[in-house]
Amino acid sequence: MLKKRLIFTLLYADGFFYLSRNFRLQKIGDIDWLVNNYNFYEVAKNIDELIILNISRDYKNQKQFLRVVSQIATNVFIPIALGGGIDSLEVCKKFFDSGADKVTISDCLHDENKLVDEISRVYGAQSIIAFLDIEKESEQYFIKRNFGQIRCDQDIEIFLQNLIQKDVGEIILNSINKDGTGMDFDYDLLDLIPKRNSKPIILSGGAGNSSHLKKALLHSQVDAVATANLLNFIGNGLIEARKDLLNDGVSLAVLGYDNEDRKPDC
Amino acid sequence: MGNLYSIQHALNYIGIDSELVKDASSLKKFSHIILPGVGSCAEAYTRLLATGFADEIINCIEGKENKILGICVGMQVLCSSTEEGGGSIGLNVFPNKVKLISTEEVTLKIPHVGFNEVSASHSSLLKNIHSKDFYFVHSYCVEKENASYEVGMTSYGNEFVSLIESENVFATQFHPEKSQHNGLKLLANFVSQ
Repeated sequence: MLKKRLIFTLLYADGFFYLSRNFRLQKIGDIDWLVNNYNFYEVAKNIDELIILNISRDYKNQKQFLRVVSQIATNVFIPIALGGGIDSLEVCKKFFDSGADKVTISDCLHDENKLVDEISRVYGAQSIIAFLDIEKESEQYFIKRNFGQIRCDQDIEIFLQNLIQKDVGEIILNSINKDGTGMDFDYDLLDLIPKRNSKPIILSGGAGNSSHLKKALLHSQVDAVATANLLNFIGNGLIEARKDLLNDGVSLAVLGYDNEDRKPDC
Repeated sequence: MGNLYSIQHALNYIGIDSELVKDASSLKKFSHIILPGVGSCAEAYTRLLATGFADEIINCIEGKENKILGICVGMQVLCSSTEEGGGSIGLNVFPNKVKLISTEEVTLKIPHVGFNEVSASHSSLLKNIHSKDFYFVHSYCVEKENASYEVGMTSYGNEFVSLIESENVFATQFHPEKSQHNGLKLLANFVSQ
């Protein structure tokens, strides 16, 4: 049986990793902090996929971001999705060459250009994740672009109806209202998805503890959950959370590190 | 998922030297050969033919001196034909056909993406691996021929062949290089064949 997935999202800008709360950013530490203090490579042994987003406003400068990505990519053995500032096939190529298995796209989903088709033709639709930042304003949901600053006035259900016809592999629904609050996911987002949906859905924004992850992973419309909160699952937090979820019967993969041998010998 | 470098990173991590082979004629000097998947199966086959790799791979398989592991599209291209990209023949090492994942179930999502179980009764690649969860991402799959070399099966919609072992030829539909410890162990098992 296909297992559900636990995805970790890293937010990176200009040399540092960040915490985000309702899209307000707090600087946490650089790559050395992530590897040595946060012990990220151990944490990564307990997740199914990794997303790394470049949230720099100076996103045209991808060099430093891609150097950090390459460093991480040589030390984790799970699929990596990269996003932030993808506005051409050239940027995508750089991302894939730096270790990406997938890319996340947001703003260009609204543009008339054919970038989605181009990426799909070269790398396959399975390598594209549509990343939607969604905000609730007076009981109505809107997609936001440009780091949550610009509201897209198109009806979100019509947008999603069109999106599932496109050549994208997966869809992330990220709640701006719940982002970084640790107050549980926004399940109403799932009601926006068309009934006959054939794309895997990743729910993001609001995970604060393992019971939130459990509830979301047991939901029939959710294929994966993503958490970007570096501090909610600090120390052995995520490792313990995965153990709890497996013990509670949540359908997650057993990733094989429980055995005493940490590196397989030949 | 055409990421050649992630396979090299994984091999490097478990202490195995590897080289990206660009010249088909040097293929046979390697004791172990990994054939990863790039792009669609039809495209991969065309490129293997154009670059001379198709003949060399067949030579290595028939000579039985080298061990070969096909991954994802690298497995599919060893089959007889694929429906993908308007249809194409393959290297025909195995008579199996590659078809779009069955969509009889309306709720079935495509691509098949995430960790899924490989059920196998006797497999040398899965030796001493306690969990059988591996990472898949694909829309086309290898149909069963009920042959003895089909040692691993996975269910998504219908059951398809996810692991092949036949003398010196091995193939996985899943990505060992993206399957955490289970996958690293599988790569180590391949190299110790």
